[in-house]
Amino acid sequence: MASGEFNCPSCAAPLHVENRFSKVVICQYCGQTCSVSPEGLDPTGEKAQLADFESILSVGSTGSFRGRDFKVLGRLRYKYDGGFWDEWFLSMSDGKKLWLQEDEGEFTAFEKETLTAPLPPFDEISVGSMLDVNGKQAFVTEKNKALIAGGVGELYFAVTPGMTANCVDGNCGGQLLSIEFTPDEINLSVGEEVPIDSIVVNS
Amino acid sequence: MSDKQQVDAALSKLKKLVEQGKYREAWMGCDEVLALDSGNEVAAQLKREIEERGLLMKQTASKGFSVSTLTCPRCSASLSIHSAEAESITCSSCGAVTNIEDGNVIASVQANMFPPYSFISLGDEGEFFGKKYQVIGRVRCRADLKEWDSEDKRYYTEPWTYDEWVLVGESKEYAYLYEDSESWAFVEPFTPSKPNLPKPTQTRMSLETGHPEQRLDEFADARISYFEGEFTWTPKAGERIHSFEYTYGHQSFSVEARLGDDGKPVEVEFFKSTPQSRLDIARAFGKQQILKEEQEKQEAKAEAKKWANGFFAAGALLLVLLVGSLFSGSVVAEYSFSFNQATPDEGVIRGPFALTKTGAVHTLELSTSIRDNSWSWGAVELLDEQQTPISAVEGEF
Repeated sequence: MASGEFNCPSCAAPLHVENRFSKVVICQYCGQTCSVSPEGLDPTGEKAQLADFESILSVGSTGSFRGRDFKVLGRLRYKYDGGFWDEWFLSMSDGKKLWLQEDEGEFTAFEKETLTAPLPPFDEISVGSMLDVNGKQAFVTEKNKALIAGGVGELYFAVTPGMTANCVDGNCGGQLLSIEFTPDEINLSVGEEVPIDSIVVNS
Repeated sequence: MSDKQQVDAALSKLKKLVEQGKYREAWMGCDEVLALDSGNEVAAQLKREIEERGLLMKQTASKGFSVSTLTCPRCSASLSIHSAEAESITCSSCGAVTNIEDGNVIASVQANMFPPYSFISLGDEGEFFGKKYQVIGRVRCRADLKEWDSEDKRYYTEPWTYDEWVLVGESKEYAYLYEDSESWAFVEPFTPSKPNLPKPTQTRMSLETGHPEQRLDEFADARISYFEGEFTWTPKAGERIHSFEYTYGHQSFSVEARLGDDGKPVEVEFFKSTPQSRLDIARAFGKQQILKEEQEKQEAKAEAKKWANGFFAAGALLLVLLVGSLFSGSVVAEYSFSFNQATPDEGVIRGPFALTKTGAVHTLELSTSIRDNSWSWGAVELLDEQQTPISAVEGEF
């Protein structure tokens, strides 16, 4: 797997790939999405530059969260009928990966969890009802067909702007759930809301 | 009457109909004129104008339901009306409310006809619980509010309107200010430990594992009638929201379901709110004029109380409360308070005491003996088992 210094195949800007597990890197200058392969960068993805809405985080920024240092590697923006939300991909000092979801100014820290039991199809899930997730009852708070509007930096799964994802949000006894249905897989993330002042960004 | 006289008379009638806002009749009158004089430009032009300005409803059939369409007079979007009794329709594109009477558009209320109730404006900056916020948006909702009446022990439904001000904090966190004609509340989203959405027939609920089930204070079936400012979601005029609220401690807890076109929830959110007074809000936003008004009101009240308490203490009053059973004639309880021991600022509160005799009509007698030129006031509250006041009597002597 590649990691190190590259040049954007589209605009030749320097492109640093930090995480050796990254599958996609998006040029912060021109928005070109590139697949990361052992041979280097493949500019097969789409180009989509994000409007830079103000946030305490930015790609490349470092800081600490609950006693662990982090570096922000990537940002992914989802659009849906009701607006958009951003997901920040963080590499933690203990080697773990963390997603910080930023939606309407609120942050939720998500970590991936394995689905141990099948879920009903996306279309059969109703907002306001209970859903069995890994043997626990989760209350479904929202359901969206979201569009990946674009991203910046590097991400550890293959994604291109324009892809759609079916997303279900839930609450299981105060723990927040995010389930993403893609044509190939279903991803479960479990997390909790975090106060903004628990994310300390180095100046 | 010659054809020309008939046409002139018909045109004069048309003019009056337009002035009266009777567009449907005027539109039909145009046809009558055109039948007499097919080249009459005045009638043809008026007919076109009525049609183009969307002042007339057109009937179309849709799956057995009669649907009328109207063009929004403000933004020209198409409006669908399903009920013949519809009196007004809110445009989902621009938020303008159009009033309809007998198929005629009688008024198109521009969006700025929903002014705020109070002194807050978009762009104002304020501080709540040590955090600074800026007002960035406002949503006006009109609701059928089902509210619990603790005295009558039942829910009453009444029409209600309220504003929800959208606040954004310095750290980009969002909060809301609820405002209606009677009250204010600072509202924050929260993550409940026991999330649920009550059924419309449900009367008790709890959103936290630490809260015993509480009676629902209110249930609102609301629609957005107007919005202004900026939002991180896309509000739509006419969008329907169901909300359920209960009180626990000093805060209210609510669940809000935003409904889709099919009436099913598309998003469920949870909020907790802390009541605020007009003075709190004026202080939070540094509204000096309002603060001055509120302070003057409070000073006037304090002055009145000082005089009242002066009389109160000087009067060496005796307030007697008798609770008796009407038919047996027996006194259930008697309380006597000597008020010359009361401090001028506090008065005296006694009780509560239990009414244990069931199945009997009780009478309550409040009397006092006071000196000349003195004044006293007494009140008795009837509490339910949860210590909530359900009735009160008072007397001034």
